[in-house]
Amino acid sequence: MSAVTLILSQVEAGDAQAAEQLLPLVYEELRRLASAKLVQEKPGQTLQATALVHEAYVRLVDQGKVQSWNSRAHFFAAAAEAMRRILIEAARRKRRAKHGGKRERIELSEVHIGVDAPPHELLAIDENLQKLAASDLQAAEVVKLHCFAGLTIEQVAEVLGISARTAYRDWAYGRAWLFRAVEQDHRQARD
Amino acid sequence: MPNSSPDVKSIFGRALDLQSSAERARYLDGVCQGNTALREEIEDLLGAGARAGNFLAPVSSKDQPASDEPAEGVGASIGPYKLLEQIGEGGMGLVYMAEQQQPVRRRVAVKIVKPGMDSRQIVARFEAERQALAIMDHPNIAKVLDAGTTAAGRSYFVMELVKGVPITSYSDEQHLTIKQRLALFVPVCQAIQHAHQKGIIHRDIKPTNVLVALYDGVPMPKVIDFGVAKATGQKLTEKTMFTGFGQLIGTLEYMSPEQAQLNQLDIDTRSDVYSLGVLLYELLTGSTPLEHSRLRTVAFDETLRMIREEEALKPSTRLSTASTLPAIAANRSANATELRRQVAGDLEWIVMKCLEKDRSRRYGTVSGLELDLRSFLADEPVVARPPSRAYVIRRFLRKNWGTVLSAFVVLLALMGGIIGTTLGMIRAEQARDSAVAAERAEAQRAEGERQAKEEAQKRLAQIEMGTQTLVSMIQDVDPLAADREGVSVRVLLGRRLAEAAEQLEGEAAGDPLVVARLQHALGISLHELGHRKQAEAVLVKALQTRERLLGADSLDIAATKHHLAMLYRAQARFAMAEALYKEALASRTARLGPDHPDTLQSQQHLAMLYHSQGKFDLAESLCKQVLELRTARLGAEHPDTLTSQHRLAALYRSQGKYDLAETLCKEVLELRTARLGADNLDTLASKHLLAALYCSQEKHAIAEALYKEVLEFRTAKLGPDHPDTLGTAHPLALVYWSMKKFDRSIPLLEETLQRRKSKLAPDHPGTLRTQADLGAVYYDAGRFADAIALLVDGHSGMRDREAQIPEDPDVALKPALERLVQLYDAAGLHGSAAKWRTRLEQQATGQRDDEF
Repeated sequence: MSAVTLILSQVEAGDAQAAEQLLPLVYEELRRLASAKLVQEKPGQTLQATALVHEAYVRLVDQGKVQSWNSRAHFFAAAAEAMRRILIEAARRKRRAKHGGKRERIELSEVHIGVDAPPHELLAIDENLQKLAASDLQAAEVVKLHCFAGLTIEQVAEVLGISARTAYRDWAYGRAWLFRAVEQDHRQARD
Repeated sequence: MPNSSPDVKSIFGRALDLQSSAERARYLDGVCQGNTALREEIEDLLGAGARAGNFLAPVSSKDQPASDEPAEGVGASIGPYKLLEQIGEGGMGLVYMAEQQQPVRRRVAVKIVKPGMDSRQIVARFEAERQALAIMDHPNIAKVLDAGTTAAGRSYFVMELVKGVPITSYSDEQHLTIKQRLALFVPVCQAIQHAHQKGIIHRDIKPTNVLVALYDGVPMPKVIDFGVAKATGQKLTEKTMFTGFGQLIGTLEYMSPEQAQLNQLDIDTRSDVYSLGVLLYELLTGSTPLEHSRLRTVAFDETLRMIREEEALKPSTRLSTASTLPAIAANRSANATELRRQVAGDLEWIVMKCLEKDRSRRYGTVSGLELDLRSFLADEPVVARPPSRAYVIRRFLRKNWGTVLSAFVVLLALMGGIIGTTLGMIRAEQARDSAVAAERAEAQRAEGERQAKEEAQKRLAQIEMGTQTLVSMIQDVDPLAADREGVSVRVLLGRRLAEAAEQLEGEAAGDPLVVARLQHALGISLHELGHRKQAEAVLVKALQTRERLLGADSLDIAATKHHLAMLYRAQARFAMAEALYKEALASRTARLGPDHPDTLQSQQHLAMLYHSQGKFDLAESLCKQVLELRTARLGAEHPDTLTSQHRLAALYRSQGKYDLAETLCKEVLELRTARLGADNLDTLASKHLLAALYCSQEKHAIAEALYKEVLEFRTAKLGPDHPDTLGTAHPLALVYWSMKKFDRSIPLLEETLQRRKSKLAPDHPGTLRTQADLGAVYYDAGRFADAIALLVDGHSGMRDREAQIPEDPDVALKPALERLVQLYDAAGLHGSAAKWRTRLEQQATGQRDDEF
């Protein structure tokens, strides 16, 4: 049994603390997958969060053993968080490189993964996403799972155990909320 | 920035659903009620949403050409089709409502492969759906009008736009009767049959894929989404069965057992027959055989196991146990009784034939199902039949093995013992034959031989009769006839046991003590099967024989007394139960010692009896003593120790010591769940107790949830008529009452009363209490006439009871009596109230005299 499967079994058995061990494992696997993909792909190609997260799921989770909705939710929550961190790190490096820093060769900074947004915008989105989480956790979770783990809204609904209709509303609301917040940031930056 | 409350989000969401800006403005006017800050916040967000454009949109697929090619979305045109609005999203495609401009202007549905989903595998499946639809031509299947590839290279096809609602929602909204629902369902069968003839299996039949739309005012069902359909000629590989999530293809609630196999390589048209059966079940009863709420709470492989193994409740049974039965019935323009009657019988056998786990027992084709439905609608005989006798007996034995086994094992052991001793005697006889004759006097030998032969023959006769008894018990149990008469196999088996017991006694062959032993065993089984009267008759006979032939301190006598006492306690004949328990306890203590398991059992039961009688202090000291001895002897986690602990918790509850009770009860529940499983009857008893505890503390919501769980499990395990099932239905109804949910409380109590009346004596405290409670709820709900009618009826019940057993002041009646008094007072009938108050006081005095 893989380590991730084992942890998910513990989560299923009610050990909530086990879930905390998921993130580093999933994070490592996603980074590794992304780097491996980059070697194979032509430069300038785009990798998709969807494909990466799903591939990680298939590789890490023994599907014969772990199948409860609860443990899947934990997996995708960890994957979304891991993906978010990878993207934010990439965006930060890219920005440093632009601002005259040494142009290091870092594979991940060469590609877009997941959300189609320029690095500075990605960072702004991430900051505001944390603010959204403070006022409406569920809407923020929906956005995070949809954007960073690449789940469709239906899949997000299933993972969070809410109806698709609710998830769509949360998504529409979260997106509008974030868009407005990022707009305001831009305006303040100009002023 | 104003803090976003849930209110903002829900108003935002609802406003978003409204199409025109005028409608939105009207809605916001209404909902914001002059709260300008709220209104501004929402309009601000709506504006931001409209400006957001591609913000946070997922990146386009890596397989796509350069990104300057716009992805197709709302507003884009594909050939002559202008995409207007996204109306659906499937596993691999997005569905848009579109306007066709050439050659005719009309609305169509366009399904396009999802961005990023265009792997070869998915494109192949997409193509398969298009082809599947293209070769089908049936008025009840959405037609394919066109197909092609977008400028960006994604496949699409154009379908007839079905502006419909799911068949279940349509039927409920229109309050269609059962017959109207069937009339709507028959064309669905025809559509699926058509697909099957074209070699296509749908594999995902469910309400959202069977839409009903009005054409010229006539409702017309249309089957859509052949997205997971499979061409029967085509080879399947295991890979195509899973998405990246490891999900199976299909929808869990509607999935056939063979689809729930992880290597589902072998799916045929009978799989669609199953799913149609589930859909029909839902049309009739309002829920799927495996309810959504249950599927969501268990692990995935457990879900699959349930789909593969768990037998569906018959639709009429499901209706009987549904807490929302009146609403379900109203949606079908019927009342609860009518609905159950319409569904029971041929119609439900049709449904059950579709839902057979073994597909060779289902209809071989969908037209078989359709023909049967037509026959049913025309009041002609149908092919579907209740399962055969042998099949039902097998299933019954599988479910009730424990109870039946206890009866059979005793019989067999008895016969084995007889055979053993008989053989021994025959052998001894032979040995004697070959022994030297001189050693014994001839006469002595002859006498011995004669005696032995006589004994052996007597015993052989007993064996013969035992066998006959055994055979007669199940020989003519005919579940088919029985089911039509509304008698369950459980009841029938009980009758047979009783008859066997009678026959035994009538023929009185062999040793009366053997007969007594058999009667004792049968009595226990009969009691467990719920046949208290017959159980009492045989137990009393066993006790009489034993008392006549055995010494007063015999343990067999103590055992029969103990079981008879249990029976009396269950019948609320407490004084008699108390005497018997005390005798059994004294005899067991003397013979076995104070900490023998049997002794402790009698002591535990006596404690429970004191509890039932309201003698809490006596009960408490006994119960604590048993708990201590059991803990010392068996350990803290032994099932018997847990039983004592459970009893003590129940006692604390009655004494109002809720904190003590809750701690103990939770501990027991946890241990029992871990050791015995969540659906074990003891575990359920503890959960029930916990619910009762919360109920006593007025924590209604949590009590409701727990009671519901227990009721569901008990109904499934014990049947809807079992005293324990009813013992949960009753307090659940009272919880609903406390929460003023009359629409749930009243039907549940009515049903419980009806079932109790048919199972228990009409003057049993349980029946009377249900009656009194129902009267109270009627009164509370303003149905005075109904309340009074019940009270008058309850009157005579109590009077009868008093006349029958005057020496048994029954404290369980006290709450019922008190409520009667209250209700009479409340109804202004003070004379009657006073009369009953006097009687209540008399009874309380009588109780004290009895105690000291």
